[in-house]
Amino acid sequence: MNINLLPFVFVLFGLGLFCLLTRRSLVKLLIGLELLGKATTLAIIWAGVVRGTPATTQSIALLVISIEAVVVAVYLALVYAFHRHNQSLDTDDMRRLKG
Amino acid sequence: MIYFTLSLLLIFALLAIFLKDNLLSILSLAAVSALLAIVFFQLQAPVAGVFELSVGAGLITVLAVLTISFIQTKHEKAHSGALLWALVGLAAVSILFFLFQLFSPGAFSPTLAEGGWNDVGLVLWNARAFDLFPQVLIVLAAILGILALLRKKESVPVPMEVEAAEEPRRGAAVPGGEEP
Repeated sequence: MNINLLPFVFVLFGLGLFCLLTRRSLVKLLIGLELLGKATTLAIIWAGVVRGTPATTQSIALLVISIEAVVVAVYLALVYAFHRHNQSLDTDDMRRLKG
Repeated sequence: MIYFTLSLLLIFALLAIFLKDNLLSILSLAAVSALLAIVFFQLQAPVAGVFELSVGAGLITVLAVLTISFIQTKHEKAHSGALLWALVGLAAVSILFFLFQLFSPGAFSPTLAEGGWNDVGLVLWNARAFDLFPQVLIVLAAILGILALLRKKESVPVPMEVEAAEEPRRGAAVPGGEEP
């Protein structure tokens, strides 16, 4: 079967980028970050299918997914700490830095 | 079939971006992860599919829902309009799925790879073993960072002069003027 997943990869990446650039909620930023990571993982797996090296690309995808989980965990801890101080999830409130 | 799954994935990604309620957005993101795992299975990458399903749709969703339940105040209520749109989207997707299955039943045949697990294990432990060590270090650093971020504030230490000045007052408060 002749399939091409690159358009879907680019659309998913574009959606993540759009979410990161236009949304102001910290939870929406997390969703944008996740969509970027998922598009990247799909691109890696698709590269393995095209090049005929599925095992190598799967091991790289495992690495990407685990690092993605670590990034999400640290990000959520940051969100929780920020909300504890400011009672807000708006990124505009993060501009008021206290030295 | 893979195009159908990817179209569903894009629909749920749009829902995750545009839904107002944070909880529904996170659940839509979990659906995106689950659909991506299905795509990995269809691309004959079962190890990545299982990992994406357990980590992306499981662990990350649980962490995000827990965080939202901690930070969501009581006055923030879910938007009934968003829930209605999510239900309408779910119903539309179910109808599409039924129609697709009705008109092309052969497209739903499973395409699992055989022996993929052993190949990935060999590559992971032999060719890419060096990647595992920094990965463990990153996980440990993340654990330390989360502990540092979530630690409670320590009580402000009282200066020695203030403490010494308050000592006679405490003694006077005791009946008889003596320390207990």
